[in-house]
Amino acid sequence: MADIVLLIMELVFFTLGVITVFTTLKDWKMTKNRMLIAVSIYLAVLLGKSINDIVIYLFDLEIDIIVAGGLTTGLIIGLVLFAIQLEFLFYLKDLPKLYTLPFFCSFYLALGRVLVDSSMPFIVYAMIVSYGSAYFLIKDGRKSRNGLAIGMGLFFLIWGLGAQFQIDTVLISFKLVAMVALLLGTRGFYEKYVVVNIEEEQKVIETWIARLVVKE
Amino acid sequence: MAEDLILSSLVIVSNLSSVIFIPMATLILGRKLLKDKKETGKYNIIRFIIFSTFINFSILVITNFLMEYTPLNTPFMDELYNGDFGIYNTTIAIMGTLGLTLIFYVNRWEILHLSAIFFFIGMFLLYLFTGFHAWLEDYITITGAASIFFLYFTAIRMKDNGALGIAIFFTIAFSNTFIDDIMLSSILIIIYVAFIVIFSLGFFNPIKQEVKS
Repeated sequence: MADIVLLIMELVFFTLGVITVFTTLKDWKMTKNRMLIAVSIYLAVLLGKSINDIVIYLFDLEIDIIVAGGLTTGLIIGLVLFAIQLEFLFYLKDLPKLYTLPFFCSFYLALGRVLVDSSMPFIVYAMIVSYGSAYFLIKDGRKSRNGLAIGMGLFFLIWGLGAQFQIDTVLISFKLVAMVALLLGTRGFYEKYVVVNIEEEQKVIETWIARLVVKE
Repeated sequence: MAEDLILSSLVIVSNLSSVIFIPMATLILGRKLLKDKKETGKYNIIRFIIFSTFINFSILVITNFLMEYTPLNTPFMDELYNGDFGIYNTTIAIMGTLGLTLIFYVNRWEILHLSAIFFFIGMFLLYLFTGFHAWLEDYITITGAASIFFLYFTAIRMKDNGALGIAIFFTIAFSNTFIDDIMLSSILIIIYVAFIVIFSLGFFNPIKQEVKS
């Protein structure tokens, strides 16, 4: 029974992910903003992982293959996801000097996992990347009124929080909320309702009042 | 008998000259770096990398001297100096890393600027957590050879005296690590010490054209 619930939740997550990818690709066609391509690639990898999870829930298959030592395919996908996440952050912050850092972090974490079967370094890395990128993305997004950055920041934050729980239902619930937050970001929700340009709004209202006064 | 005396004298002279002149050259380069900072308001990254390379080299020659000529050669110090990631290997690896970093900066390959440093730090952290150090010697050899090759390449391409000076210095210092003959090794040490003094005092200007900023 639990597996069916998990499967349905994962399917909803997957559907939301596909909608988000289509939205970002549609926006990219219009604006040619490279940030949207970065988001699409990240989501595509995420959806690949989601398909993996759906297969697990559907057929009760375990496709987490051991590559060497403690290194599994699931961990490799995780490392790729975090690498893209960090690249995304460095791209947004315009830090090309740090572009190679995620690659080396992933490489050494993978190698470390082959040598020593301990997941602690990966957990520490994941926490730093999740919360660090969430903080910078939300902060920068608010400052520049960039809804997509806020959406990504919230996505990383909520996903990171969910990853702390060992119960699958809780984790998938957090994943769903995270995807909804990102979808809202791609749809311009935050620009419209959260980070409203108060000065601009004020100017519009003042002009409107001024016109009324002149008319009177 | 006389030959032994000459040899031991040569060894002492080479070690003493390196332990005196290399830190002195480092200080001169540090002074130039600070002077440059006062004039321009910010650190010149190329000068900073060269200065860091020389700091490493100073640490290496000072510890080497202390280990050979003072009673500091205890088992603990020996492990600290000659261990897998001991002072000797680490300082040489850092010099190789800085050599590559210098090349990336001079050639303005922005994405690669810090990559050699990331690779080395990763290797060091991996050693701390897992004890894995099998790549260190290969890393030293590869970075050393790559640094020398690309430094000559950069020096010719950019007509840069700094890169050429570091390339010559690296060539002599690096080749010295493969030489077993004590006399030849001592002569090479004296040669690169003399070269470092000339370089740090700013008298090494074989290429007259300035680097385009």
